[in-house]
Amino acid sequence: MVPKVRLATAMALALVLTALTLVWGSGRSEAKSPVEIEFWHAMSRSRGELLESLVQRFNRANPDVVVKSRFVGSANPRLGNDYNALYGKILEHLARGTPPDISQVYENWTTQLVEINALTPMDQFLSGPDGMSQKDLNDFVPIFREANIFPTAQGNKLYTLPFNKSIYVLYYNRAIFRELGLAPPETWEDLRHAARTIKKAKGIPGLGFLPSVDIFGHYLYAHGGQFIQSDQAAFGGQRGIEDLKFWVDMVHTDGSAQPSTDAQDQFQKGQTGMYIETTSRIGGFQRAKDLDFGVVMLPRGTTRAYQFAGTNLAIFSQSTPEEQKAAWRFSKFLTSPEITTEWAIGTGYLPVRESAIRGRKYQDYIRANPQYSVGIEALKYATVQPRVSAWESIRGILDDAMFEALSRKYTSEDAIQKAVSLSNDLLSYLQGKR
Amino acid sequence: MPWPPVHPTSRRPRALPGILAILFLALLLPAAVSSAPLTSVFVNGVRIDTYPETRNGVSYLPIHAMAQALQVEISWDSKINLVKVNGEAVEATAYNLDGKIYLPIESFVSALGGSVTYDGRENAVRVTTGGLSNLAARSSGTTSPAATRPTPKASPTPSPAPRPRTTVALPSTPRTPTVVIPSTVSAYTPPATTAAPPSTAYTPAANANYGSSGGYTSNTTAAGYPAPYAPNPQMPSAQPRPTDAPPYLSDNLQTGPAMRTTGGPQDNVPFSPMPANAQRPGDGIYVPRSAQNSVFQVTVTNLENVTVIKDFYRPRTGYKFVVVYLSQQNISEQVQIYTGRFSLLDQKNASYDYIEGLSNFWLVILRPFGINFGYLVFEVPTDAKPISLVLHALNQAPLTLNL
Repeated sequence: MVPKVRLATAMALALVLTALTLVWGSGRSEAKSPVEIEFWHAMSRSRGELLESLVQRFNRANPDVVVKSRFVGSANPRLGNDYNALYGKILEHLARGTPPDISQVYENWTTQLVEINALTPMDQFLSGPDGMSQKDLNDFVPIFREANIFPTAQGNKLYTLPFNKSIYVLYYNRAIFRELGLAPPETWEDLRHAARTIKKAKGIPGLGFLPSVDIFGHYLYAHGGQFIQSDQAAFGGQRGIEDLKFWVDMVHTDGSAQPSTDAQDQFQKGQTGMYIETTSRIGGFQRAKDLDFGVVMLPRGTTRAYQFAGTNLAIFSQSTPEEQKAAWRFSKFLTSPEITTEWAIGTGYLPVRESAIRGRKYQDYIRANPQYSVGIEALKYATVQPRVSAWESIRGILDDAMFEALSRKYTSEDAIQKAVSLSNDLLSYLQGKR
Repeated sequence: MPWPPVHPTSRRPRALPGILAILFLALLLPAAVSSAPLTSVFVNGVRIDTYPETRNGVSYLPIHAMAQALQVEISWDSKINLVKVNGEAVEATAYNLDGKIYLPIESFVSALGGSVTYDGRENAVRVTTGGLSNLAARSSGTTSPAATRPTPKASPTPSPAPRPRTTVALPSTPRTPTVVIPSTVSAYTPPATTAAPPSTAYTPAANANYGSSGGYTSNTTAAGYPAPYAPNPQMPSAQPRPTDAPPYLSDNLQTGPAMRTTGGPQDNVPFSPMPANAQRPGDGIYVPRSAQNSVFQVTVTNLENVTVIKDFYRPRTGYKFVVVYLSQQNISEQVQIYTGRFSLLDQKNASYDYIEGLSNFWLVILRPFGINFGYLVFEVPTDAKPISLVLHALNQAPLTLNL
């Protein structure tokens, strides 16, 4: 009997304890409901899906935080621009006093947002239990980290963390190159030669490309140029003219390059020999049937410097300290070695952490998909595009200049001169009066 | 004739303005009051080597002469009609008279703190620049918005000249206190002057600086380049230059370089020049226009119907592209975080959003007096006629600009 009584007592005690625990637990969760934060992004389709699954995983692992992610893309089904729409919404909601807690942002947006104190610096979150050690901070790919540090009246501050990053590389049709005994180009002259050879032997464009500011930038940076320096257009002069002429000559003198909006599709179908795009395209080309392609770094000129692309994560100053902290934890999660690896493998973006790049999972992935190693190699020479407010518009101005030169509407000299002039106007007019 | 004979006593030969120029100016200037022309200009008692123009009772000096007279550097940007003195924006409107850029003497000088009197006996205008001594301070020192805004002058109207002519009581130019850069249609070039000089006349250096000879620098962006931002739709360099046009003078801001096109047959190139596709509404002249509320001033400098953009992008069947070149200025004292969204209305009051991917007008946070510019591309039905551009900003009634 005694044991039975003791057992019953024990069971009763256990029940009471359990009940108490439940009451205490629920009482606690009532007192402290999870912090809800809004995360805005412009990741559509499969990338959007993967991002959403990462958000859900964070929410499961952090019951005290609920991240609500929102795709803020273009309402325009034709020729819309999701990033443009995102920035528009950010500005509109900032003006209304209802910005998100955290969002994807480009570097040049950050410059503007910092100026009006719309963002909260991330430095403040580095210390403390949920902080980030110097070692972890140093683990970010240096150029990405540097591009996230912005000058303020109180000195340089870390305002953002790099998120979805890619870098430009050269894709080439390996079958065609092999057939013609061509080596992947190392210099711009090699590229021109290869394009000519392909055109001659196969009758197809050696290179297909969409004329754009980025195409202009590849040659510019490779020859030591810059887009903007000291708030002035720096892409003009002889270097800029030579740059435009290089592309004009390939198209018109050699007839070996073809400007087209379908350049990607044409390369994928084996209708052109080379294509320039960021590493984020590798996955798509891998899935293409009958495409045997290789990836190399873009040609070097007098130097090597490669533009990278993609956004960072920023936390808004209008959020409460709790929301900001939650947003910080979410940023840390998305940029952690584990998640950045997963994100990279799932999307084709580059991992933003060096330990992730060195990690076994990503190295295994590179072994299976060697094309990705080129992006990692190119990272050593990565360079950030201008971070000034006028940059989006100047991009458009240079897109136009490329078209104007390639259509022979203007000479390269005039097209560049016009672009410089318009850009400088914009750089100064946007400033208003300070 | 809507205004008196142009400069009958001028000793400086002037080309006949084209019919279009006359029509253009006729739009800009109300009915003229006859007056005998002024023949000389005195600055602090010293006669300077130039001749004023009088139109509609208002006297003007060429921008070059004005700079010389006041010993300052004056620049003018045609795109937004921005006049700068020693690099500083001032409230002034430049006018294009017969293809030369003029500033209204009285309002310009008094805006700078000087004064102007008219000497009816000598048909002369006398400028006193006592108040101009603070010009140096303006250009080198204070930069706060308040400091650069026009301040009421102690005596904004000139003291009556002795024995004034009947027309000498010059109307002072109306001013909008909040606007530093008024944009008037008259700042833009009449077609007669826009034909490009022969391409051989062009050297890049000619574009750079008029300062050495003229005393002012030219911001030639819009003046010199036909597209895409140039205010004047008449520019493509294929336009032959009228044979009776005068040689381009150094103080003619329209002498920006012509865009050269490379020679040779272009039939076999994969691109064709964009201007070939540009169809302009009406008679081929788009007169720039502005609208403003208390926060923004929007100026549309050109409007084009285009069937293809960059040779790649075509509208859907039954549609066309309308390209609107515009600038937007924050004329308020506050930073404008969200500058609003533009839509286009047609004759049926149908509203269209612009196509981000083809436009180049980006949202930016606009500081006080900051100006953003670019172009918007709308896709509208072929029979649509653009009637107005509407800016939808926060906490403001929609700002409508009639196109």
